[in-house]
Amino acid sequence: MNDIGQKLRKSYFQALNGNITYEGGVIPIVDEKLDANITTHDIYVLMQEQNETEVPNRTIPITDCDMNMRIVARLSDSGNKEVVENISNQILNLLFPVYNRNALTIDSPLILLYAKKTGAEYLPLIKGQDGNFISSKTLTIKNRITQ
Amino acid sequence: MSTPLSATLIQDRISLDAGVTWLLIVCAQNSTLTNSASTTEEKTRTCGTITAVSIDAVKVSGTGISAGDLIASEASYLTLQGLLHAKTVIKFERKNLVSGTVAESEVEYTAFDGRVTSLTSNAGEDGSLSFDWEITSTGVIDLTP
Repeated sequence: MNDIGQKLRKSYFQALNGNITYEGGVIPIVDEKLDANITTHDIYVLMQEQNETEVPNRTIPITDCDMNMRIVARLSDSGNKEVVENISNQILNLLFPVYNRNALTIDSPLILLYAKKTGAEYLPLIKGQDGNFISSKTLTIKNRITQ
Repeated sequence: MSTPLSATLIQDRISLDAGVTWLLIVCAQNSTLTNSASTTEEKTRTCGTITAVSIDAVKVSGTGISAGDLIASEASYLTLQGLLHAKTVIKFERKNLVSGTVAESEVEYTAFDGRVTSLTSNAGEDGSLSFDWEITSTGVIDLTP
């Protein structure tokens, strides 16, 4: 039985990396472990928790994994959700160009049975030490994977 | 000392050729096998109540996640659907697989000729396509592995 974490994250990275832009600039997709080192980007998408649960059956491994992606925007003016919503819109259109269909491909031996957005959450606006305002929105995508 | 067995080690399978080759029901989730006997009572004035027992047909029912890309040794919803509508007599076998010192068929073994007598496809607004199945015995029940 294979661990699904890296292959699932890679499938999201391949679908999104280089394809999300804002005001002419490409928005980076970064893994959670790099968050502490991000100082040069004002807008980015952070791949966060991937929480897994097993779907009980006696035949094959089936795993549900919630992929959490946090969209972060550091802005000099206050209270504007439209930036993170713009990025969120691009992400959802890239992942789900047609309703009930996803555009993800995952490496063998894993098989992605389905992916669907199950939630979105706005985090409270906070003021950074540099005086900028940080707004963020987290998307949760549920993935069902077998192997 | 007695050793409990994991429920995931119960295997339900069917054969279309009297046990020469077997098809595993996939992707099986849970299943229930019911043995029962019907009783009739004859009340008498001097000899108490006399009961007679007749063995009912064995019923096995289960749930599963519908699967495609089946290999030759697997059966899923579509296979069972065809068998139900054709009223095909199949061979059914249920047994426990090996678990440590517990041997195969040591905890549970039942086999019989039977038919698929109920099949339901479940397509919810969420989750995987699933199905509920039932197989009912006809004739003698084999309790010997």
